[in-house]
Amino acid sequence: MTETFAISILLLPLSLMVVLSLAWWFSRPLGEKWTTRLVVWSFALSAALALGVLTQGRSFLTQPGAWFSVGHYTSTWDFCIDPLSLIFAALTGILLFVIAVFSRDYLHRESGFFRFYLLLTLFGFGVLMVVLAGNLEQVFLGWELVGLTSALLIAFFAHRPGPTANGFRAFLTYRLCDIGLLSAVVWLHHTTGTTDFHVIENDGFVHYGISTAGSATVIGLLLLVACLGKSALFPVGGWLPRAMEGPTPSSAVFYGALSVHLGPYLLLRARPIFEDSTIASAAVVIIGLLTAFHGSLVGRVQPDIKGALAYGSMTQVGLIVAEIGLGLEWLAVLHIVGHACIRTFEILRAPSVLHEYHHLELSLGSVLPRMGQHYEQLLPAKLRHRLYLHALNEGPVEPVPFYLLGLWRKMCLGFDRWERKLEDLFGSSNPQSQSPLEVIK
Amino acid sequence: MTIAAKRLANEQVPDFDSLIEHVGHLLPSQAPIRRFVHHNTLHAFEHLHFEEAVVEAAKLFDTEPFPTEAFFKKQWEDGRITVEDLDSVLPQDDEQLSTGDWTRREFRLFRLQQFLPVAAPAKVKYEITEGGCLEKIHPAVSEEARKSLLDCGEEAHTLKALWEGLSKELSPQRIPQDDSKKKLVAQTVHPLMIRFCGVYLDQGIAYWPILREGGFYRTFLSLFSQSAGPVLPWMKGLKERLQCQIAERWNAEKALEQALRQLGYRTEQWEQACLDRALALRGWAGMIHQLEHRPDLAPIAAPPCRLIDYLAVYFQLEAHLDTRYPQANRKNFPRHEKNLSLLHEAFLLAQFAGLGPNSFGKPQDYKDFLDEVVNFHEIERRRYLFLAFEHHYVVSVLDSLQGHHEQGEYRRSKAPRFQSVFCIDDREESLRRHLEELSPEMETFGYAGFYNVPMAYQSLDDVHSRPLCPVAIQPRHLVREVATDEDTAGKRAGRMKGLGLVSQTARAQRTGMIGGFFMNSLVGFLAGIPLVGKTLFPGLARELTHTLEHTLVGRVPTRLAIERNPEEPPNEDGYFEGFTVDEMTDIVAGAMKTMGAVELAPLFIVVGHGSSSLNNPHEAAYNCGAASGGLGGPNARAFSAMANHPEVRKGLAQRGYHIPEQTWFVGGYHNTCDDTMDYYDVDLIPEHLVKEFEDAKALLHRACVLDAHERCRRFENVPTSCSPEQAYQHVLARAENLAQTRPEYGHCTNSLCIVGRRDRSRGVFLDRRAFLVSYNPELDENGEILAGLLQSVGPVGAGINLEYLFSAVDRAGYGSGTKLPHNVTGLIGVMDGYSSDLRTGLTSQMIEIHEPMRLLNIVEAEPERILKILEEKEGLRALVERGWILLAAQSPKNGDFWVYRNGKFEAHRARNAWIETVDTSIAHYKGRRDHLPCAQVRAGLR
Repeated sequence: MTETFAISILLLPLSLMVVLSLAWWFSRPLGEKWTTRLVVWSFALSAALALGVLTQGRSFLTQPGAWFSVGHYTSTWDFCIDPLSLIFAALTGILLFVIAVFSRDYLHRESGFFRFYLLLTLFGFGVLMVVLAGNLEQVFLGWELVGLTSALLIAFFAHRPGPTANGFRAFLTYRLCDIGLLSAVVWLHHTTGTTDFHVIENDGFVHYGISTAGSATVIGLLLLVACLGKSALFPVGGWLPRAMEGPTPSSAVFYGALSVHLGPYLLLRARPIFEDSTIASAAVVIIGLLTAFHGSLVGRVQPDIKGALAYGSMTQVGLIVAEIGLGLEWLAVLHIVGHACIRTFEILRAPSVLHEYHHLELSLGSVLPRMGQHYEQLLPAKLRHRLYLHALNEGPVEPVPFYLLGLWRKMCLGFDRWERKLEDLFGSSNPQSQSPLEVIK
Repeated sequence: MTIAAKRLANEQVPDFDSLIEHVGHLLPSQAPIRRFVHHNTLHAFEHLHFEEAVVEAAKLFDTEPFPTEAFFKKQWEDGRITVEDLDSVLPQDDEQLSTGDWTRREFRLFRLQQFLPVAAPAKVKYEITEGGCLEKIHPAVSEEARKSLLDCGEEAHTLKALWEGLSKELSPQRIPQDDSKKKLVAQTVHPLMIRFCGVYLDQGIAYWPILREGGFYRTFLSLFSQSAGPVLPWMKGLKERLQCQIAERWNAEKALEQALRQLGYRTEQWEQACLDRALALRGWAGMIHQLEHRPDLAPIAAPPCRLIDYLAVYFQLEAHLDTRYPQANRKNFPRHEKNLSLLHEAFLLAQFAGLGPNSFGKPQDYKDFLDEVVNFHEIERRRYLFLAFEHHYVVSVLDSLQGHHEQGEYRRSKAPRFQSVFCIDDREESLRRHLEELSPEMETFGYAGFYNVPMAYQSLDDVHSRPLCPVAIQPRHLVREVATDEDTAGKRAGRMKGLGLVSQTARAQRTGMIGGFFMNSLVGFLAGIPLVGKTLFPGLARELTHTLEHTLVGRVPTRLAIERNPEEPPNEDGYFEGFTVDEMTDIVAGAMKTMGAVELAPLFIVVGHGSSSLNNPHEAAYNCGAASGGLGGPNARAFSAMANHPEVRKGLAQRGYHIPEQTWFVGGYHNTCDDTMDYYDVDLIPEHLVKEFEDAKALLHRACVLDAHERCRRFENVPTSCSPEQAYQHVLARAENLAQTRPEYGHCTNSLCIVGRRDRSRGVFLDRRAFLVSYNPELDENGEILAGLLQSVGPVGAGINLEYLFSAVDRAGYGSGTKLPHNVTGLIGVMDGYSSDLRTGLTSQMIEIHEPMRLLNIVEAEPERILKILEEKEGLRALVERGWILLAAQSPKNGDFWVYRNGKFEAHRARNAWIETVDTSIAHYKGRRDHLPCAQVRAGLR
């Protein structure tokens, strides 16, 4: 029974997604009223189910059936039900429920109303899939859905060039870092023959059957690469402030609450791997702290409220990642929950900032005190200027994803040339043929 | 140095001042967003006639001049534009056309009625090859036209001949190409400019403010000449360039000149070049220009701003880009192609008009026909459709009013029990109407919401003062709100400060690392409570917060420090603190005479208005325009205090204006968003009027409830079946709902301004579309009062109306687009998303139900008197003559209507002088969401 309930957490948004898509496919999109009703209730139920199962206090892995098979290998649907995944599932359900209610008024009469709710449902399904997944392939599935919906919602106002460019940028960064997740899946299969999580009775955390510290380091680092993109970690996080192009509620739930915390969640899931590898743990801590410093420094100079909040998110996610690297799992969980609530609320009321300032001024009875006296007092004038410019330029890291993509492209071109040379060597040269990669140059 | 460069260097330096002035004049003149005041978006084009100005502006700003044909098609189908309207606005042109049996005017009249589905060029190719448009006559073609086409021969053959005939005579057109350099600049220079403008103008969002050294240009130099690690490829070498400028002590003028020369502009091209660049990010450039001339508008303190600095930085960056990528300068040569859309249009039109190949005798006929089609192009058609749409509205309103007049239904309460004056604002029209419907003993007036008190005001808690009078007036008097009991006020301020410090600390940790860590990990989850509460139960959350605030902070009784000694000198800011008795007497006498209040009731309530809503950066746009976008309550309070002042009453009596001794003035404040009313200095009301006041208060509350109900019919997410009480509860919660993007519709749908006695419009349902200005022609012997009124009301009404008009005509070009991705920056404005130009104008959510049309001013005065005023007052004449407002007159003597056209008044010829009669306003609007015609409300005429 518990198992059915647990799986229903995920099935609710999935079935709703199917209903909504079919309605749209047959050019019969539901009206605003019914769309919101369905989405609101499905996430409310998901959250309630997650909380209900959580009270049972059990940890188990359930396999409702086979997913796909390749040759003699069969992958099953695995769902990992333990306090960690249920807390995250409940948080996801509650926040999406709130956002769905909020958007009912916020997006009222907007031409993309239905599209927004469809993407929100798909996103919810993706997050819950990552959260409840019992193996890495399923994580990958959910991970991609989250990435896709994220890019599509950034580019929600597709008639303007800014949103599409920034949506594309987020998508590229995700794809680049997905290499890490995909490679981790392959490597795990290579070394252990499976990517399933294993549950130890009554212990919330899962184990992989990895024997050597070397493999653990490789897989740990690959998973970290996967998190870089999704959680906007240093040095590829430049997409995060640029993602503030969509409607405010989607910015709030993606970049304040859920999407950015999926990286830490994956690291939490993979804790045992990091316990086996000091190098990987150290890398996590270093990346986390670098992100926090970078986010905090760049965030300080942002003159727009959404930019400042985005960098605030980046800072806190960096700290959370560092906490995980240091082995402070439950602190990290508390931090994630707290940060998700605070940031969602802050982004939702970002348009109120003028009101708030005025109110604050009235309360304090004076002009708001100037902040940011720290660096000004600590640093010599020359350095102060440089640091400020550094922050305004977003550090040297703003174009990093483009450099990496450039490198990737060059590498592919190199392989391609090398291959063609080899072909020539074996005498099958065709001077007319042009490499497909050359064409897109 | 090349010869060309030498020649350039020897040229005379032009006068940058006049160049900057000209460029600045064309930039949006929107103030920082909390000081938003409605103004004519195209103020820079007021020297032209409206119809010409919109077309010129559209060319310059790349915007729409008129609403789209799709909009007019809808109006046509709804009967809001008729053939008669089109016929009235089309000018005479009796030239016979070579094709078809009609004159040019007849052709155009026919054309305007055809909303042809003309395809885009790419789609035309599809229509020809796959869509079968050469095989079948268009299905929407009338039976008659079809018959005459088929007379020419077999269907496909006829169409083919027609197509080919037209196609042969169509000459290719120049098609402009994308400017690749502009694109490159937009990708490189613009993001940097936006960032830099953002931090430079920031008034307190960034935790770490920029170190401003000198002006905009100097700060840019000192900042970007630093080395701070790797930079974007295009910025390489910029540092050295700027260091060189620092070493040679350049100023903005020099930097601008150098860049212009480097980019190869000749002196006479400079102005155009500067204008292009300023308009590229016109929101930011406009803000710099605004703060240069009105630094007092900045929310905290304006940094030194000069438009020339902005241009210098922009041009320096562009010149640098030019050095880095000289190949981007490559010119694109325009292509020449046949305009397939035009061909398609002519082809369809010929079909709809039933003109087959037989009607075209010779090739020249095809050519002539094409010329006719081209000459009556889309912009022209939209112009006439716009005029016809307006005309229809004007005729229908005047017809209704004439119908009302002919029934002789003018009422004035003989001895009113209560009197109240409201702002002329269109949103108060419904409140006044409901009030009069509720009680025949209530008389209402309309007067500009600053109530003739030209003051700067500072409330008990305010840190700065702000002007509460029309923008055109520079206030010289400051009025403060002071606590009657200093002790309790001090304690209260202490408690407020405590609360303020808590939220200030929380705010400071928004981007902080260490503080942020503690806040998020330890208490972060607590944010879930307001998050869920405010989203799910906005109404309940509102009550809780208010109760909590009331308990924690409390209120203290206050008074306005209104009176000053005539000898007292101005304070250090140059303000006189208060008014002298003489000044107050002038103020009260001026307002009372203008609004024509002669016989005063015992209780006179003066109501100011404002609006409060959450999550709404454009909040100031909903406030009182006559109070410079501030809350108008204090003006009503100040006016009442003045009128109650015994010395002032004495002074008034000396001037022949008697306020009866038992009459008492009470100031009030109407919140147009949640429809609540507050009253000031209630404890001072004399004993004998306390009961009367309670009755009046109950009456006003009931009127507010009904007002809320009428407003709710426009909100699609409120069922039309809701009761007035439900509607009232809804608007209370709506104002506090974080998710609400349209807390109220503001001046949306405004279209009318009636200057005259209220008894002439009393009992007429005007659908919250009319500004109502009280004016009694009988008390105005020589027209002086009217001249003053029109001079202030005309431009204010035009400003509001035209801002709504343009924002509705082009939501993205003149308006600021949808609110959903808006991002408040620097406390001065909003951007779209992460980085964009500063958005000016109104949001789509504010204007979505607005009907773009110019304001029709109906003035109760003889046409001769109005013409005389126009002759004398040049500013007003310009507005009227150049068609920025429409003008009509109603004769006070016989009630005839006159319409102003081309410099003179013509008698209004009614099409159908009739007005629908209903019992109450509710009966008229119940269950309906669309724009409603005028109606006579019996309840208001008791």
